[in-house]
Amino acid sequence: MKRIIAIIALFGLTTSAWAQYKNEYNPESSIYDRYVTFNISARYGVSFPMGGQQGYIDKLSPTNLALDAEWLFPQRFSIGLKTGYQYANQRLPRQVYQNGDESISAVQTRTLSIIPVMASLSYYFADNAAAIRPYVQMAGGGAFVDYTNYFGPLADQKSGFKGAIAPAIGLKYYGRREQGFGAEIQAQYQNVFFNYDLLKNSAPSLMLSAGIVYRWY
Amino acid sequence: MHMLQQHKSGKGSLWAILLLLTAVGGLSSCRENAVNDLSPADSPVYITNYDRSINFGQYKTFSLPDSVIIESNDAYAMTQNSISTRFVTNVASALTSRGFKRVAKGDSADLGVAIIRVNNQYTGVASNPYSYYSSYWGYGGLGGYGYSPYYPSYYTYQVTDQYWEIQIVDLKNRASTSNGQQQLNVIYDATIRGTDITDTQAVDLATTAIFNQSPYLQVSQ
Repeated sequence: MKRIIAIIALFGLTTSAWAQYKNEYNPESSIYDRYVTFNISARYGVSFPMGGQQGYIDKLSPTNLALDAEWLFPQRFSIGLKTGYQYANQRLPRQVYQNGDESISAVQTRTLSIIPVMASLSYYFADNAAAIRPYVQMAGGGAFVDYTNYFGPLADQKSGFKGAIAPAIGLKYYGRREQGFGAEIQAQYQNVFFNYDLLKNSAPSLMLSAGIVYRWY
Repeated sequence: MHMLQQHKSGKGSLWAILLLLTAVGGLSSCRENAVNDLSPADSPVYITNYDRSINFGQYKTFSLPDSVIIESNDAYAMTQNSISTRFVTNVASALTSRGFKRVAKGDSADLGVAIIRVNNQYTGVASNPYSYYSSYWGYGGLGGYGYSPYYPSYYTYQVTDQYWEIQIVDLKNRASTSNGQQQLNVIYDATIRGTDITDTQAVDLATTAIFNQSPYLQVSQ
């Protein structure tokens, strides 16, 4: 009887150890697949003005930073927060502008700064622990916009918090399963519902960004 | 094992967040530096305006003193230096080239030309240090001029406002007010803003730009 109990106990211990072993090393039951896990991302981007924004600044902006934080759910989707900093500027040679009855001769330096504050919903085409994770994303929220058009050193400024949407597609690459650090590329169309003077209708842009990601639990 | 890993990852993300905050802080100064590299020739802003009901072809002569008016708040004085002399010479030659004839001091003329050096200082307490500019540019699309929401609501400020102004007054058609006093109408106005004029070369650039953007200042042939 004692021997039987001993065998059962031994069996129980070894199987539980075996089960643990299986849990840790079987990719099918990664921690990422069982719990809500986290991902942060920081990317540098170039931005191309579109639509109404082209009437104000029509050249590429090389000064953009994107920051994302995401809660990854086991069902391949994530909810996140997006922010960053986008800055575009353009200097125009001296020109005469009409402002009502006034003629203004000035060198214009046009600037546009945008700080987005958005919530995002993403769907991934691979599980949370995968090495390569392509995704589609829809983000919405608002953005702090600062429009400052300098006439010489004098500023014509308008700023405010406006609504914004930003659908995106991208790819996260971690090198191997369950690895924390990785890289990300993203193409994002962003439309900020801001208009003032030379910037008519709204301020859409296309941003291509690349950077680093880190996931953990 | 897991504890250790979590501890490490926690530290890693903290560093990542610190790094990102530094990056954001560095980038947010972009707009403030946008016009730091403006050259002296690119800084001035020349603003001209005129009475749309006036046909400038009807005038033949103009009077222009050799000195300029210094307007300091509400006080006026006259001055003459290398810059003011250059202003007078340039304006006189530009108007002459457009067909107007300068008359000797004291003779009657169709137009009176004034070159004014405005030298104003304002001190006060306000919610917006640029309210003066708001009213100056107030007509037209440039409302909210220079307004920044990041300043505290109330504080003491001092604004020094220095610029050059060229005014042309109609001496030919003098309107009379109800109490019998004669009134002179300003029919043309040009101001030089953005930066102060410190040499005669800047005067040349200013007068050239101002007369180029005022082709209507012309005697009819």
